[in-house]
Amino acid sequence: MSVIDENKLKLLKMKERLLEISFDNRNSVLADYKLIAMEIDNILYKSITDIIKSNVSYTDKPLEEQLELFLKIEKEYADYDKFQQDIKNVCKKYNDDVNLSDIDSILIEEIRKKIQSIKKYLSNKKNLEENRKKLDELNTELINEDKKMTSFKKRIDDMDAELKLAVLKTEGRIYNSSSQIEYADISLEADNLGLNLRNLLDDDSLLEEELNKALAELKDAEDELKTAQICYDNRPNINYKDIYLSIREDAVKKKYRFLFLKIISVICKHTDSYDEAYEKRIQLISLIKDRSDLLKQLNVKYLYDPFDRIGLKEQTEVIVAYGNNSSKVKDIRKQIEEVSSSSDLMETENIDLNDYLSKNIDLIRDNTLFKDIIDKEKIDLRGITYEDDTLKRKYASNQVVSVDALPFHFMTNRAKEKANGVVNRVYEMMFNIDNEKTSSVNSSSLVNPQLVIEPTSDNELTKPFDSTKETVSDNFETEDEVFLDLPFTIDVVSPEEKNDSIQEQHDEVTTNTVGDDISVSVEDKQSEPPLFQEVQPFENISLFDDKYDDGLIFDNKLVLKDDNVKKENETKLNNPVIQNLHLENKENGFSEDVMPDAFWTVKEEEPDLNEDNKLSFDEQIAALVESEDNSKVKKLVA
Amino acid sequence: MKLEVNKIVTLGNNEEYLVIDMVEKDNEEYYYIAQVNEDGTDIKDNYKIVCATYKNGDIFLDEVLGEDKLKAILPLFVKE
Repeated sequence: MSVIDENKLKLLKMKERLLEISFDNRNSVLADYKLIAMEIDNILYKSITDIIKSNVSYTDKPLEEQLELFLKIEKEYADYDKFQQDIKNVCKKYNDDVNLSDIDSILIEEIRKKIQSIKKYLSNKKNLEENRKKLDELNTELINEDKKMTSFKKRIDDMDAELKLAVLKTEGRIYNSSSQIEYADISLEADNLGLNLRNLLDDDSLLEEELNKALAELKDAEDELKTAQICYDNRPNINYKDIYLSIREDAVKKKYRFLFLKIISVICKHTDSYDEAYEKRIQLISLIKDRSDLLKQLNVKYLYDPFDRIGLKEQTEVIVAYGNNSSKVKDIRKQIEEVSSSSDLMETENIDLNDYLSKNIDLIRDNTLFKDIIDKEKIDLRGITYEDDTLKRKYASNQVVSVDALPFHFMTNRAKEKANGVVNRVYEMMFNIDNEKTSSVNSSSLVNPQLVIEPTSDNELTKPFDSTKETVSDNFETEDEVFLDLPFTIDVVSPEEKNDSIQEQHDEVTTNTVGDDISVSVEDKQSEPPLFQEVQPFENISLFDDKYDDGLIFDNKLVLKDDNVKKENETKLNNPVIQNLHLENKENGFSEDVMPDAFWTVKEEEPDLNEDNKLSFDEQIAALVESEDNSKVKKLVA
Repeated sequence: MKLEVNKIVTLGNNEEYLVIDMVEKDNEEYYYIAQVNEDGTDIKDNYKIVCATYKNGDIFLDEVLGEDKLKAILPLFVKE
């Protein structure tokens, strides 16, 4: 705890001693003690945490440095922990408590785990290095032993070949039946047995065949010998003895033959290792000795047995001199395997350790709350608003949200026809409404006089036209005018009030007043095209029968203006015959009015706009007024 | 999103209208629309003449108000 001022520690100690001896002001001393303790505690805590915080990226350091760092922290922690325990114990002694820094916030277990892991890792690393060296040595040794073995194998092959050659070439000396020494060799011996030594040495299958045959014969002979033995034992007489001896000799011969072949067979056997080579020679030595014993039984005596001179002993010594390194090689291989396994384990362990050690694990528990950060950073929360995207997406009532195609089941044509009908009617109604509003019989304001047909209060429309009714007044106000009474009123109204500007647009508007009646002729010469479809009054319209399409109708009077027709009719009336007729029947109420229609001259008929010529005049009027398709009337409404 | 004749527009108040006709006057687009019935098969007797305005990529339809204005626009929709 070098960071602590020594004086402070001394003071703390002093306070602790004071606590033991003071009774009256113990609380005060204890309070002082606690204050100092907390002060030191803060310093110690800060010291450790500062170390940790200043090494946040400790994984950047080499492991050795990390280990040093963690060991230092661990040591300081241990001292700090002891300090805290001492303080708590002192306070507890006086039934008090003290608020010290949260030592548990230092994650000492993580630090210790780091320490252990680093130590293990480094240890493994060191052992791996040692193992590598060991392996190198073992491998080198193994290579050497393998070389030896290879060399030895070759030597063995050579010795086997030498042995075979020696069997063919080695000479000996044998005593004959006259006890004289004769030349002997193994080939001659084979010949004596009915065998060809060279063939036996060259042909393994022949050798095996002969061997098996000799073995079988030997077994037979031994069986026979046993039988003979039994017979002789039961009846030991000369005959049986001779037979027995004969059988026994035969058995010995068979055995000798078998041994010879066995020796040759072992000589031809290939050896591959020290053990095999050694065993082969030992076996040969034993077989040759057995053969010699048998030869003695057969009274065959060698001065120099060729089999003793093939060099078996020498070869055995050479083999022994080479030594048996197979166990050594085995041992080396075993060691190599062990070291390799150990290295594998450590490497695997270090991979895991490395993964762990490369992580920058927090070594201090951070208990900071979100609000702490706000308080610490003194973040001004004013003015922070929340924009709800869903609100933005709210559409105004008149906002187009989507435009979609018509569904297949939508009655498009019908809908459009209906809609178009509506707009047309509205259009027509709109301007009808305007006419009613602005109607005014003012000569100066008359513009585009219009015709409106209304039934009379008498509702004379329902009555058929009465031709007997006086339709021609006797009171002609002008020669040019003839008035007819009609069962409806006809007014001239203006579609809109004329103002000065409009007035200027009209070249001529004339009015002729006849009493209270007004006949109007208008020449519409508006310079600008009207805002709406304009139809000139009476244009192509035959409201009445064609007779009366030449005139304006006003106030139940039809004013005829066709001079030619009028003149002709007057001429007819003035005809003396008609006049006489009139005079003769005057008393009877005769008048021009009763003249048949054919009497009167009428104007040449123009195309009758009344499509149904069968209708009467009144019927035509009634139909026009009541019909929805009153286009003829409407054409006048412009 | 583009307003077209013979299409159905849905407004922010969830009403659906058939676009019957469109005319242009004084660089303004006017539409004659009729409200679609609940079945989506025909129109109801609710007709409007509206003017389209464009703002920030959104389309708004404002009804033409006023007799004078209607008199100026309505005839443009009238068919012979």
